[in-house]
Amino acid sequence: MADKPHYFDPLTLSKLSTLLLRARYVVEGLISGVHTSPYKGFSVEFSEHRQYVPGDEIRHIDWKAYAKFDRYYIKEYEEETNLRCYLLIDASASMNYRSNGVSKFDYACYLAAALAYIMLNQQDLVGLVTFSDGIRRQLPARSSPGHLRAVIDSLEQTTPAGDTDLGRTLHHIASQLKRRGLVIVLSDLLDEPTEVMQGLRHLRYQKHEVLVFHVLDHDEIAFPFTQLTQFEDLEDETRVITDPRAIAADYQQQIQQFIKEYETMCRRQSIDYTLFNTRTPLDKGLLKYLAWRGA
Amino acid sequence: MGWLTFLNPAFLWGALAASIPVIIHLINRRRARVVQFPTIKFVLRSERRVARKYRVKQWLLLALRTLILFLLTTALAEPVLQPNVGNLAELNQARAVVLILDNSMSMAYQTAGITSWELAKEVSELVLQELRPQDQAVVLPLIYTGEPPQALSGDRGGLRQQVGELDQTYQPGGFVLPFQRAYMLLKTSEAPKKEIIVVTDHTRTPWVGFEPATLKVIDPQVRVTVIAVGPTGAVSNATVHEVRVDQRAVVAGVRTKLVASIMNFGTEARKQVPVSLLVDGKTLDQRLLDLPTGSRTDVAFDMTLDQPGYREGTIKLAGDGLPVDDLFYFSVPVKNALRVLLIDGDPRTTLVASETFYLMNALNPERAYRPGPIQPRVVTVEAVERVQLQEFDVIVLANVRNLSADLRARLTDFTAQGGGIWWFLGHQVDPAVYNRHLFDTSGRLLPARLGPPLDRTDTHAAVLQSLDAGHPVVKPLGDQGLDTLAAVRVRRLFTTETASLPPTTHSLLALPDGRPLLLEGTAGQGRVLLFTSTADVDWNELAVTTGYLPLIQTGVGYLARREAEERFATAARLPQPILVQLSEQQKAALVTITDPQGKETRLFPQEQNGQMQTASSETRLAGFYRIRVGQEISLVAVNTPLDESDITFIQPHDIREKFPGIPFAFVEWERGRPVRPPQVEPMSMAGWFLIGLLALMLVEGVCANRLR
Repeated sequence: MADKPHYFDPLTLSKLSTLLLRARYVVEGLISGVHTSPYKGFSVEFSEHRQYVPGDEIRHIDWKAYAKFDRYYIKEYEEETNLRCYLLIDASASMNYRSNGVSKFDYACYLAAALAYIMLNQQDLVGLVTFSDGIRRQLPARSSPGHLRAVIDSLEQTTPAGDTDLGRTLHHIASQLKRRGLVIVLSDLLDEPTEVMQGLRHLRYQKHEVLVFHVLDHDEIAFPFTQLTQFEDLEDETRVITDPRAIAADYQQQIQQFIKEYETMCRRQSIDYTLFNTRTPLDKGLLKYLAWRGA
Repeated sequence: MGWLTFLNPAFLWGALAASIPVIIHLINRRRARVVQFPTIKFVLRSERRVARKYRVKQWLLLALRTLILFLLTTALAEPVLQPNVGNLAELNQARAVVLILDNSMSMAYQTAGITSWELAKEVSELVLQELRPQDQAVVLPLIYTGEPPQALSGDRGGLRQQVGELDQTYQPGGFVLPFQRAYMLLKTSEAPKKEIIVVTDHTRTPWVGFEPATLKVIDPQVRVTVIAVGPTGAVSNATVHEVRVDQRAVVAGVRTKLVASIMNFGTEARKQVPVSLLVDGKTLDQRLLDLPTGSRTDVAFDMTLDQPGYREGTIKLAGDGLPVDDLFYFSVPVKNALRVLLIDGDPRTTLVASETFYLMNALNPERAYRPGPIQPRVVTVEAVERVQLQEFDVIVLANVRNLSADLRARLTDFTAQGGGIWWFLGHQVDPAVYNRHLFDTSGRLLPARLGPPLDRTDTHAAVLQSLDAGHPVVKPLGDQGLDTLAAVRVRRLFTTETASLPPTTHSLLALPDGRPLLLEGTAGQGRVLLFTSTADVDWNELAVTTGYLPLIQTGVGYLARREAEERFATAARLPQPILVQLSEQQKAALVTITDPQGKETRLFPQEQNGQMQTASSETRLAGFYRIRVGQEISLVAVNTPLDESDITFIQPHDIREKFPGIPFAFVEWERGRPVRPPQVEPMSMAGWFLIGLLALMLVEGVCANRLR
């Protein structure tokens, strides 16, 4: 038990070479701690055809449809008993901020990879969407053992960039996800809260269960700056020189109000909201998920 | 208000430290840490909301810290408030100071029991205390009593001792010589700052005739400071201007009228001032006198002194601010009566027909009541044989026809001893005989060769002309006396040959046509007067005019044998030396002078212009000086200088006008105050700066805490 915290310390994890290894590290550590297997049964049922996109497994191409329409269609299956989970990861430039070696995006990735690891081991379907001002990468929900590899590769190949347009992106994703499932949003939510909430409401409207993992850096919450600082926006040209000591109190009040606002609004929409400080051990996120899964 | 200067200006470089907070602020601003921050919208909002207020406080804090450093460094530089004395460098410059100390008599003026001289010494002490190690000074008394200092000195102890040993004098003095010496001494000094400080009671007398421009050695860079001590309000001082005796001489046993002339130099009139007459230390009389401001008032005393000889007379005034001049000394040579021998050449049985009747009455008008100062005796020509001429001072010959050879020889001896002869002519006089026996001989007894008598037909009185109004014979008559002679009608007189007049002969009175009526000449050691008309009313009406008596008396007095006191100065004012003139017989005599303190000094006579004379050195004490020439003793009174009794103050602006273009200050000093006026005295501001510093630090602490 003495080593347990190490499994979930983001900084410790960042020293591991690959995201897969980090995911396994977290999950195995967690499971060895809780002594209860989270793995469940597995069954699939054909659901619909959809157009092939690169990354889809060739074995899922419906050759009959190809012969009929001269186009590639993928046969999609609907889980009957297993969970369909979509991990929506904010890859905007603001997620690139780091104060202790682990950026918000890194933290979100660790969390996503660990969740994917657990879910796939439970035969649940895991889908992945990375987005900034639009969808940047998208993996359909799969439960095959090799899908974890695809999820992790996709995460590792994604670099945070671009503006955040979370509200519109959530709308877009909501319109794409036809089958209801669990949607986990990992984002710093640095967008207009009302618009973000509209996107989340859209997901709820689609009957999805929504978990919001609000990832913020420790600096963004505590604002520990002491010397004269020129703050520059990560997404645009906005900059300001100020003495942080002068505004620290007001800033902290604003950020708390910002968090509180999301918390309140999510509660109203029956959305599970959890705030993650990048220095928060990762097990908190996993336990949150497992708690929900067990509920 | 003045200048803020600094005693340690090097610390002012530290004032640059005051810019450190600003520099740090600018560097920090330039080197502001750049942070790419996602939640910048909250930063921006906070910045808009609170940072402006915070920035104002920050600027305030910056200003406070800058001011604190500035005050700290300036306080270390020891700021002083120096109103009119220039900058700090000037303050540290070496000074050369000449302290001129007024030790004239007027400094003896007392105010509340303290003399101006004592105050002057106190001020001098303060002035010397101001001197710093790099300064040099010299003390110059207004009146030197010893060798004047030759150089500036940095020995403050020595200078203070010098001031302590300085004596006040009872002499007058002027500032010309001390200033001249002061400028000469300062010229030798390399000090960048030079100053002449004069400590005086600022009476007008020492400044009379003082014009710095005429000194030639004046340096316009030398600052002049006059420190006035002594009385500032009303002053009270009276003194005796002179003492005079109505008679020509004071004769033993003869009542003499003595007049003292008192001057009130004070600013207020004085009532019922006691004035006493003392002789030989005993009070003979006392009067009460009112003395109006600035007036000269005469007070008369009657005195009768029995014994001949020199007597010490003193006029004593009641005390005032300047007691040293309240005593006036005068020497009273009391002699036996003036003896005059009247030789009547035309005695008559009727008194009024005789020339000697008029002369007797003129010489001794009160003979019927009491003895007068002149004791005449009338003898005929024949009776002269039996008279010792040496017993008389003056011999008057009236209308004498002929003089025997023996009488002429005796008269010649008489004049050789200093006796005087007065010739009155008349109808018995033969000009040819007179000329032959009395003018053309070696022992000439006539001052002029006589011509024929002249009858004048003028029916009107002819105003006599005084050809020498200052002559001792004519002067006592004054303008009024001369006017009385206007009524004189001269009907007949002997002419005189003007071409043959000896150089020692002068005409004293003349008719309007210029013909001499009274001539003066010399014979041997004596004097001779020649009246060219008669002594009675036969040829003129002079004998019945009011001018006759004074003319005869002054004439006789002038001719009288010169007494010892006439060879000595009878009175002097400090610091005049006492002049002693000696006769031929006294050439080899021992001459000594004894001052009022009893100190005897021998004098050595020298011949000057044919006259043996000697003089004492400068007199320094008022009182009686006893002069001994052989066995002969005389007394000379020496008094304080009259000018110094005049306590009239010169106004500061009048002194200032004497120093045009020269840095000048006038300080009216009062006891217990500093020498310099307060605005001149530098005031240390370091304490105030430190208090300000502490206050600012307190404010800074509060502000800094509130900003956290």
